[in-house]
Amino acid sequence: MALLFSRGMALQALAVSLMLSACSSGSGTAASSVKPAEQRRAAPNFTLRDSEGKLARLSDYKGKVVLLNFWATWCGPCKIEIPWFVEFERRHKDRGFAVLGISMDDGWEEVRPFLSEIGINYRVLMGDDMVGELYGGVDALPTTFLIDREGKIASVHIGLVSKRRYESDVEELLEPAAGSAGRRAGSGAAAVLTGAK
Amino acid sequence: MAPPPKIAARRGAAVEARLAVQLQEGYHVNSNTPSEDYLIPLRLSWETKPFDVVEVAYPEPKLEKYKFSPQPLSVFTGDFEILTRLKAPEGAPRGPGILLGKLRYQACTHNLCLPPKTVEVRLPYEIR
Repeated sequence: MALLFSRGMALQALAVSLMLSACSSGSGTAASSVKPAEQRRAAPNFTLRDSEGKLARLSDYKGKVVLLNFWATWCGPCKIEIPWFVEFERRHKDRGFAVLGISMDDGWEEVRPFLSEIGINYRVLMGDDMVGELYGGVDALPTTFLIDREGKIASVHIGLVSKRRYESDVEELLEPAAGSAGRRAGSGAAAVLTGAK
Repeated sequence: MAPPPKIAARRGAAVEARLAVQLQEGYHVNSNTPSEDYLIPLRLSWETKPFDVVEVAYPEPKLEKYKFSPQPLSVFTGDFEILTRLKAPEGAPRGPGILLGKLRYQACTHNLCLPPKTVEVRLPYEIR
């Protein structure tokens, strides 16, 4: 039969080009990537539902430092970071800090078992394309925004970065007076990505 | 995706189509048999009419270690081909047509993942 295939049948090539490219902010250094206050732009507000069906707005968190993490259950690198965020939530929640997870999965069916399995202690919301667009077209995961107490985006991390970098950023935002002084312009993380065609 | 060249099939006989996939360096897609339940497999599916799909054969996956996973993952990288064996039934209508397929994949690098995507595959054919 194999011979029949190779001699008697046309063998044609079908070319699929899945050209993918991306750049990440992800180096593993511990240097803070928090932008100077004057360079920060307002974090877009959104309203999404959490795993209990309750509505959550980013504006509810004004006055807090927010770590806003876009993730999905199919994203391996996201699963490295999530236990760090659980730890940050536990350590810093009494200092005016909150983690918000935005799942980019298709629905809660996949997400709920994962929340229990990992023991996530922070609020997780179900995202959609609209909230992704609000934040500049979140395509690569994980993508994490650190939002200052004024509701402005202080840093962006696309892809897996080191825990120490997050710790450094969070500490700087929780103690803004010490952290912002002397920070030179242009030190903020820059990230560019291009999704699959 | 470039339009693939036409395949020629005889009624009652089998024909092969090869789908060539290219991934940019640094990226991988999960294989058709991923190592972990949470990973989305590569999957090529075809509308059956007017052909019978005998088999979709994926290449041998690579087992690669990534820093985000404690275990090596079953993946495809670089350039690879997916082979489809089709059979045109005896009663299949002669003439040209386009067989529609879907390729679903999910790509990652060592530190980030792109959302799962499904792209349409159009395979022109002629049944003689």
